[in-house]
Amino acid sequence: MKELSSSNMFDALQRVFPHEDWLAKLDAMAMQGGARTKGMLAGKRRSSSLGSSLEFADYRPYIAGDDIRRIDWNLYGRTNKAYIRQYWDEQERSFHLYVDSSLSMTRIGEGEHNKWLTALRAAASVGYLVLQSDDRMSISLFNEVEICNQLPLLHGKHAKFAMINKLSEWINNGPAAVNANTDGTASLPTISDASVPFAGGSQLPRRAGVTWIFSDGLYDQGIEKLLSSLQARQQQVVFVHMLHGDELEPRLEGEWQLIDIETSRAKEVAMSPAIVEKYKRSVNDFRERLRQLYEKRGIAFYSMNCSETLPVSFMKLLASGSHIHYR
Amino acid sequence: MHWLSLTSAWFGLATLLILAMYILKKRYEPKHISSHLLWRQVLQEQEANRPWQRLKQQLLLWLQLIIAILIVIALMEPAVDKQLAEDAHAVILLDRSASMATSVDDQGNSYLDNAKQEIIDWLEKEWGGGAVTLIVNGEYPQILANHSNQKQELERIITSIEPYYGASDDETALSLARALATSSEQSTIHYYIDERYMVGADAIHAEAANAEVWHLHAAPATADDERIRSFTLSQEERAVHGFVTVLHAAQLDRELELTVTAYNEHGKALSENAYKQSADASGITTFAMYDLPQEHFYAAHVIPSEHDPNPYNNKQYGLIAEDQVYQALLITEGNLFLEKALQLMNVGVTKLTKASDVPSAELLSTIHFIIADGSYELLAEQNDWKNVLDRFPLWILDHPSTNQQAELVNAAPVVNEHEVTQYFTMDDIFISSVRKLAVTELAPYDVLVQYGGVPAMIAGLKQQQPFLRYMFALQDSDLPLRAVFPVLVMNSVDYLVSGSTKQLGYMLVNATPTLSMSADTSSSYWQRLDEGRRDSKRVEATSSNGSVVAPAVPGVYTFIEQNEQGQSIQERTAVVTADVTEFAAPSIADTINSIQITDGNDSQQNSTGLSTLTAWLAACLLLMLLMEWEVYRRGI
Repeated sequence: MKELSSSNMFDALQRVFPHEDWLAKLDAMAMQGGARTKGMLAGKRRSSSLGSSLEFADYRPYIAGDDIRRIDWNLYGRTNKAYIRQYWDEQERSFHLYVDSSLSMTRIGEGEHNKWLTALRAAASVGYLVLQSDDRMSISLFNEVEICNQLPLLHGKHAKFAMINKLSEWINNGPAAVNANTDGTASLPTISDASVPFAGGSQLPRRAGVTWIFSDGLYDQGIEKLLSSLQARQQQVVFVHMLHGDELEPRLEGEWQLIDIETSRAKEVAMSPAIVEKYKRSVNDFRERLRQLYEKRGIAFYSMNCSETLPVSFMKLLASGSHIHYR
Repeated sequence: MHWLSLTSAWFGLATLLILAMYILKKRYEPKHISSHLLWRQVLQEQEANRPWQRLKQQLLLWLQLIIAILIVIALMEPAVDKQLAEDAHAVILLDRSASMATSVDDQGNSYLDNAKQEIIDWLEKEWGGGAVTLIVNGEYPQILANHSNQKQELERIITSIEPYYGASDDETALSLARALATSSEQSTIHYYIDERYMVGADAIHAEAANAEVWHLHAAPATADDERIRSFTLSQEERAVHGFVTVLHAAQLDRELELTVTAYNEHGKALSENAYKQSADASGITTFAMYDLPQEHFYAAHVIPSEHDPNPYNNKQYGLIAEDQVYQALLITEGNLFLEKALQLMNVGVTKLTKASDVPSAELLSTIHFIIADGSYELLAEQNDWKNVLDRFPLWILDHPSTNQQAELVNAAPVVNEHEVTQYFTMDDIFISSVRKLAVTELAPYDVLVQYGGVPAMIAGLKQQQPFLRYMFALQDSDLPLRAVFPVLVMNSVDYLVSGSTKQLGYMLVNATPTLSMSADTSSSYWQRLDEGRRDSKRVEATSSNGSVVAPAVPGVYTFIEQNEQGQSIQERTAVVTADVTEFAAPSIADTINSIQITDGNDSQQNSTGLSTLTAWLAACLLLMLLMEWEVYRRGI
């Protein structure tokens, strides 16, 4: 990791966290511990395995081969039986942040309210919180066909600079760099499948942890398959549903040829107030369907409106769930 | 090809509007959206019934279809049964003939008065203020008001319409009314006529482009109509005999009452004789009267029964037929045939030769006309003779010399209709030579007979006196040997002496009788004698072309000639009678009834207005265009 000049760092910081005082607000927040986790390295999170922390868990009879230093001699004195004291292990936790970089994310929303940008910044905020809590975290960008950019697992508070630097680089390169079809050589599948980028499972987290997915969920299929494979890898999944205001409440009049940005298919619609109303209902139905799908699997579901500024939408996220809290 | 309604071309502007809309019409604008996923539900529903949805979305299409249909309907020119527009042109033909003027209804009002009142009522109540053209019949049909819409003026004109007793040209009036009506688009013709309107069924059936309303007045039932057929008077010595023939219903069980009133020359009734006689079963009753006083003129009047529809013809005026011996001055070298013929005619002949001097005034005062047999040119060269010849009716018989003879061609002789040529034919009559006259000599006269391609006999007025000329010598022809010769001579004499008596006899209204006028006459007029109307105003007697015209209203008139000093120099009496041919005309009621039955629908069709519907269609179209614009504007 190369040294960064302070001015470069400042620019990077501005790109990732353009909102004033946002970092200060993030510092006042912490990731909720949640259920016991099984990490790899020692950390601050209570592990689901027994280990060497100070927190007493249970007694068990001594069996040959146990570390004799663990025998509770007081108890032995009273009972004349050797018992081993067991303590909970404390382990660090792994957070895997996945940001949807498909065309439906990168091309929708202007400037600051670009869906992809908003998702990336939200992921950066979550990543910041994770690193602040001495946990591990990685950020991956995936488009329609593959995982296109990846920030490997970072650990420790110092790693946040590396994260900010990398994210700044991605933002600076723009969404075009991550889109699968920018060069036009790759033809997009006619049916969008959420599980395609993760096919084979090599890109999925290897050890238990928390997976945050920042996506609009606009996939024809594959979401359940993705969730299944994540949960099979002992991941707690948090889904942040990103939608833009234009998608929630389109202000359209007249006759439009609606082109699916991912499949390039076109449909002609003559707008009328009735049709717009119907569309709004259909969007709500879609969100409800997603929410039910996730909640059925015990997956947290958050909605984020990209038309709002990040602090506003992030605070709403804070308020609507238990994964992040004020210290 | 015809453009019936060029104004419809304005609808063509609508195409520009439609075109403009299509030019301005938005296409489907491409818009990238994140995914069709969100739209799927909406679009699926739209696609589920796609053909219908497509049409439903194409409101513009619907509107344009409606517009197209409206245009087609407009082209089909729909019409609804609708009363004629109030401002339509009304042509009114009023029959003012004698039959209208003299037929009366139960209240005693004449049909003409009733018809006039009907027209005025129509103006007051039904008239919508449109143009009114008023036509009356007569010798020539007259347009009294043309496209007038001033009620006061129209009513004044209608009130002042006088009956016309002469022979009227009804058919021309009818076609004039139709011609005036067809020249404008919406017209109704109102016929205020009676059943004795002299038009053929063909004329009535002729294509009538406009609504025609027949206000028909029933003809008086002939059976109930008692009328005087003839009234003749004759004088023998001092006694005056009168014969009146009365026509009435057959088997009439009634005593006919006849009064004969005698008037003096001032129109004053002097005596009145009443006669009664039972009606003859045959329907014709003749009264014979032998005790009439000798007076100027007479009026016979059959007291009409209560139901008599036409009391007018129960009265007739009569004059004593004069049985006079005429005196003729015959200037001849000898013409036996002529002399014998004149003798047969009871004409006293004073014979002179062309070498004779002018006869004495005493002699001249007794003669009625002069016959110049082959000596006219010679006499006319002498001033004395010329004066004499100019004062009297003149009958010239030419003796053409060799160089005066016309070249005769082989052509059939032509006999033109004239009083002189009544009962006369040129069949088998040979004329060896005919005198050729200059055109200027021929021009003022009627040619009666053409023989061998040249005029052989002419007649007319010369110096206001009857004038007759045979351009051949009787000796050069076998005419005197023919049976028609006495007839010709009699006609000739009658023609020459016509109007020379104290009485002018009977004439039709508005007729132009042949009158011999006094040489000093500078002006003349008619004055009515009957019914004590001596004080009534004088009626101008001369028409625009200088000939004498009989008065327009039947009655007894005195024809008064005045000299330059305004003194009356001659007064003669004439009975002016109405034209009675109309009364014998067949009734047209059946023809018109059949028209109204068969054409009933047509006339209703004719009285509908198309323009109103077209206006509605135009309004609909404009509304459609407005809607279309709105639809377009809202982008539905």
